[in-house]
Amino acid sequence: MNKNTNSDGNQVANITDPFSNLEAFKVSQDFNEFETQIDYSNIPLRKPGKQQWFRAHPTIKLDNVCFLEVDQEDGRPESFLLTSSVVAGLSDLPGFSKRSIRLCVSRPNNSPFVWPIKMPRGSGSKHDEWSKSAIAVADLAETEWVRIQSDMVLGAYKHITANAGWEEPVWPLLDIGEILRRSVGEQHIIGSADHPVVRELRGLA
Amino acid sequence: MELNHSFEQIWVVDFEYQSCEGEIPNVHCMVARELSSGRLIRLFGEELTQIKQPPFDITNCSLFVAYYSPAEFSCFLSLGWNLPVNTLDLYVEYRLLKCGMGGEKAFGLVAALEHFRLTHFKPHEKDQWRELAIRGGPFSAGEQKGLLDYCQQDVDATSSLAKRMLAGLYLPHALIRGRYMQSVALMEKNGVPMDVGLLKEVIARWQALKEALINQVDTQKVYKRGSFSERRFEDYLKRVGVSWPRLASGKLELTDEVFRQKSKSNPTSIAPYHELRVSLSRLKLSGLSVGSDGRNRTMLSPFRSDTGRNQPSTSKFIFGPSCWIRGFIKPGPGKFLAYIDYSQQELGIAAALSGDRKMQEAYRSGDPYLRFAQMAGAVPTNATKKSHPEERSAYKVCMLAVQYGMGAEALAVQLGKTRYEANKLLRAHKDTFPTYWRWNDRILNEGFGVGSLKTVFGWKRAVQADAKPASVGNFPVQGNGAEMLRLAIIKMHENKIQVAAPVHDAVLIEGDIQKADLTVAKAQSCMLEASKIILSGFHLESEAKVVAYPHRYRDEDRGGGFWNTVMGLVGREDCYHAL
Repeated sequence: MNKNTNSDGNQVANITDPFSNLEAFKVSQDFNEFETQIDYSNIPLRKPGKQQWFRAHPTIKLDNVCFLEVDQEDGRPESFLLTSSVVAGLSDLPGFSKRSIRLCVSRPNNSPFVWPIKMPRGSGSKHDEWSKSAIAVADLAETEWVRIQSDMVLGAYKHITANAGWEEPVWPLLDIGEILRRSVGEQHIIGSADHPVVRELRGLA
Repeated sequence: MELNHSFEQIWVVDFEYQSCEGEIPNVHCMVARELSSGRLIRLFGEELTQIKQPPFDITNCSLFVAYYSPAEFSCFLSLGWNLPVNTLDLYVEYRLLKCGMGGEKAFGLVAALEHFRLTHFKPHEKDQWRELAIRGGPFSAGEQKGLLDYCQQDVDATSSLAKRMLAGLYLPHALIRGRYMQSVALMEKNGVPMDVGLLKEVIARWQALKEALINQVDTQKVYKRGSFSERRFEDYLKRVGVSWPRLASGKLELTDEVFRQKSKSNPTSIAPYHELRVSLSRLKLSGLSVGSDGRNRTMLSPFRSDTGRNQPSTSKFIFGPSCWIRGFIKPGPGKFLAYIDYSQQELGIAAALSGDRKMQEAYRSGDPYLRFAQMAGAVPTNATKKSHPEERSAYKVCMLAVQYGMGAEALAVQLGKTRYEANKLLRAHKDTFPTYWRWNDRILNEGFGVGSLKTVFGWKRAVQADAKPASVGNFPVQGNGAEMLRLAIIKMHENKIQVAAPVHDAVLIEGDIQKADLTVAKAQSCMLEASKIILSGFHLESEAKVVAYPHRYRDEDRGGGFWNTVMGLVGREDCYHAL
């Protein structure tokens, strides 16, 4: 009997007659030679698009994350994340807000994004209705594929639930800290009261 | 050098013979050399033709080596010799080395020797001796010695190549491929029976027929003074409401492939124009390779394509691009022909190898396209082909498009719909068959990551950085489809079934009318068995179309109308296909 290895590296016998046992000489067609993992260098920080079906992660979420929204000349405000060490001294600045951070993915490609929902202030203002309804939609999106719509008459978000039986979402394998870093970007993290953006807002720059 | 084998003898063999188009070879001489001992056998003329069996061992203890072995096996068959148990064809193994590499498409012995830097073995004066072999006998004593020496040069060069290649190849897979090369020789010898009288009649009038064909087929006046007019064709497309892909320049893409695809979905409006274009521009009926016994024989060019499929000459092979000429195929008295093709072979392979249960269920339903539409919720579960033809057609196009890696834009053109609708269909496919899509992702990851992909029996395609993802992703389906048909044909030959030709994922078989049912059932069983081996238990069904003498072969969906037009023009209404 001859000894040899097959093309997958397994030992097989009777090399001169492959037809006697074709199964022994088969190459796997699973194509799992190596593990792969999709990584995202950039995870956008935004609210869900009007046409997007999305899901929110049930555990990768964080409340009371502080942001500073700074108006820009082009009309599109720029968001900065405040580290806990500077929050206390900057909460009086215009544009300061507390957000509930939700990791979401949208169909059909499991594209991740971070939805920074403004936390309700408990003031009963009309802004609170938008915040409360957004958080309610995000909570629902933990188990259902949903699409969000603004209802100006209602003064709040409403949602549509899909009953299409789509597959469960695939999530990026990152912790909340890394997700925040990638979504906000290093250059948008304020860790000191001396940060140029803060100095400008205070009229010191 | 340590060789990767345990054979008692390895015989490297080459023949010289006279080969005319469509004919069985007339053998002149043979040289064989045993690789370890160096023993040499040189036989010429009657020394060769008078012996009943090969003058060397062909049992499972020995290995037969040749470069493009169907040529050698055709001589075996001419001489009435048994074929060897084990074959190593160095042409196939060299082709395998170059698979997916692009570049030079020459796979001859000289190219292989150059690849391995064995140029000092390169045979010389090839043309002179090849011409002498083609001329045929009688040969002078000097010519006999010259031909034998020339033959021996090839044997020595092949021997040196064998020593170099044996050490690096995986023999079990090579032996499976080698066995198929014997099947190739058997199919080439069998050939496809033709109605030669009718063919000659049409050939004699072909030039005169061309103008009449335009007048007859071109009822929509797409041709102008005997030439195809793109502008008139564009107007015609608008009139019949057929969408057509365009080039970046905005012009219609008028390739054979586009015509072929559109002919399938528009058999009455586009297919006749496809047949007409091919017939007028490329078809040379006299180029069909037909032997004096009335059989179409040509080199089947096994393993020629990157997927490992056969790639016979489109002009010499009766199953070339013009479908209507298949009407010339006709079994002889007392004989039948059966065209047996795998049902949805590519879809079945994708479903089985990916392990996608829902796709497997769709395949097994018998109408995978309708089942897909049902699974996606586009039609009710009790929908039928008749009740929802448009939805079924759209889901069919989508399912086929996915197999070829088509994106939304191309699919939209194919369907004549918006990108939105095409994207919706693609999303439905991804949602319905997620396991298949994950498998497809792994194929691309492994292909581009490892740099190659292999089929079940080791047909390997290199994947270079600039390879087209669509063709890489489709390789396991195409490559394993080729493996499946090869294995099925090997099994048919083991069962003494006469195979006339391989045709992509189908075969044409031949036999005695009295045994037609039994032979077809046996052939289908071989195909089923082959699918189970390739797909680890999942089996593919096949469909058989049988035609018995005195009837002729007809392709029901394609070319039938055109055939009748030609027959009408030559006054042979008796040969009409019943459509």
